Amino acid sequence: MGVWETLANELAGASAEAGRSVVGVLGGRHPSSGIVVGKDAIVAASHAVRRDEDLTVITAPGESMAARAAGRDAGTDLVVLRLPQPIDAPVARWAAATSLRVGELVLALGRTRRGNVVASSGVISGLINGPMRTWRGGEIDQFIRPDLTFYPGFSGGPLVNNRSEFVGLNTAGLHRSGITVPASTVMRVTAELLEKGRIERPYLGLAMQTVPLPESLRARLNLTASEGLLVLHVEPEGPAEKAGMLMGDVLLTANGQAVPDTDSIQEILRGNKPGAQIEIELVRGGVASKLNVQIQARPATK
Amino acid sequence: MIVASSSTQRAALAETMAHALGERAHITSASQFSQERFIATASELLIADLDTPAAAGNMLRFLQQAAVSVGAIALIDDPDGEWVGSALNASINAILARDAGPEDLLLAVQAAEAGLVLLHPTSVRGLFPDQFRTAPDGSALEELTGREDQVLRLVSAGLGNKEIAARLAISEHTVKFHISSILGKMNVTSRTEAVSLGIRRGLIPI
Repeated sequence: MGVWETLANELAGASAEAGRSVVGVLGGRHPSSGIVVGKDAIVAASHAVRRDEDLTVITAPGESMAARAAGRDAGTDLVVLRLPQPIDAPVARWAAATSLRVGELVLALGRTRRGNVVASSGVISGLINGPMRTWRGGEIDQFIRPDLTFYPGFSGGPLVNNRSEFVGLNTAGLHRSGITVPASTVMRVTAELLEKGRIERPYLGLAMQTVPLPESLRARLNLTASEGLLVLHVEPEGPAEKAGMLMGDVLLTANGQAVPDTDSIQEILRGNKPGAQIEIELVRGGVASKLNVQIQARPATK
Repeated sequence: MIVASSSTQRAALAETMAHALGERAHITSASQFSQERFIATASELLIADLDTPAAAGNMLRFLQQAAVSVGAIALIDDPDGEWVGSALNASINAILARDAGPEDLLLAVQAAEAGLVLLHPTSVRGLFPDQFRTAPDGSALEELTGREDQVLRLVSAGLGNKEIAARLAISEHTVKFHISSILGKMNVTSRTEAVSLGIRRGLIPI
């Protein structure tokens, strides 16, 4: 058998096989796709599924069922849908670790509103290892840009490798040219959305700005740090307010680590979950003290 | 005379103008700019909905080639500074946003009748980008307005323009205007940068 025939058979076979875990989703102005992640759960592209209720999931030509959104993470453009009864489709097999290489041939799959599997092919064009922030403030583990055509309706569908594993979920909602949210991110976000209905990000409830510490203060309190974070605003009902922090406090360390800027305290926050305690050393009115703040989940925006 | 590429937009504008002007309005509409048609219909005022750069260019040419002085109102979103300059040079009377309501359109008509010029703020910032960086008293305009502060916080929560518009009960167009103003004041080129800087400056709680 020639290479052409082999390749043709492999790609067609993979589309059909992997396509069994791909569904069509109607929940916005235009149809999009989704991936089966559980007996009664689908993950799709949040920007393409505008509504929360009255959604339709299409599993095959002529077969569909109602669904509702069970949780969204706008930051990673993912939404999880719950089905009223189990779906007769295999759950997606996600790729293990970041096994992708630039130049590797991949397939993007989708399912149309009529229930047919559609495909697009190309190579991995760009890879950057994360973690990194999307423009919507979410965290993805890797930036994956496939070089293929994102036809309308492909958002929410999988990017498939030659082992028929899903390396991620494709979306046109995070980047102009269409990118793939990596499997690890999809799995992490989906699990949390299914459990809690939203992504809980660790939150202190403080707006701060770097300030240099005056020499006299440093000398008097024997401080090694030369900069600290001045609290400009304490969010009402937030974790910092509950711990007794006040506007005007200057943060020096968090969990023993110096916090000369907001980046450093964000780093420390990222390493902790809601519920965890953080010990803050601060200066208030020229006097040093310590406070324990219990991190909470960032509240839904008002 | 109303010029717009889509018949729905023409009909909508015709209705709005009829409301704004009342009985004295004699309204005709067309899908293209045409000197002959304008003269033939004895029109005195041109109101054009400019939905593409091409339409904007066509209106400019129409104004530049007009044999008689024409009252002219353009409805255009985020016009580029150069176009605004050329339009003013060609004696345009008003530049409004495309979602302008009857009150604004009436003001524009009155401006045209008085031989004055009426400009929507978004059309001006492109003309003098540096001028608008300072407050009237000369101090640097670093402060965000209350509304801009709200919008920045919603951007930092990962909301897109449509979602912000729905949340604040304003138009998407207005959201874009606020974001453009925020980016300008903070001297950044993207929402992500605005959020990063906002956190560093203590504008956004973490």
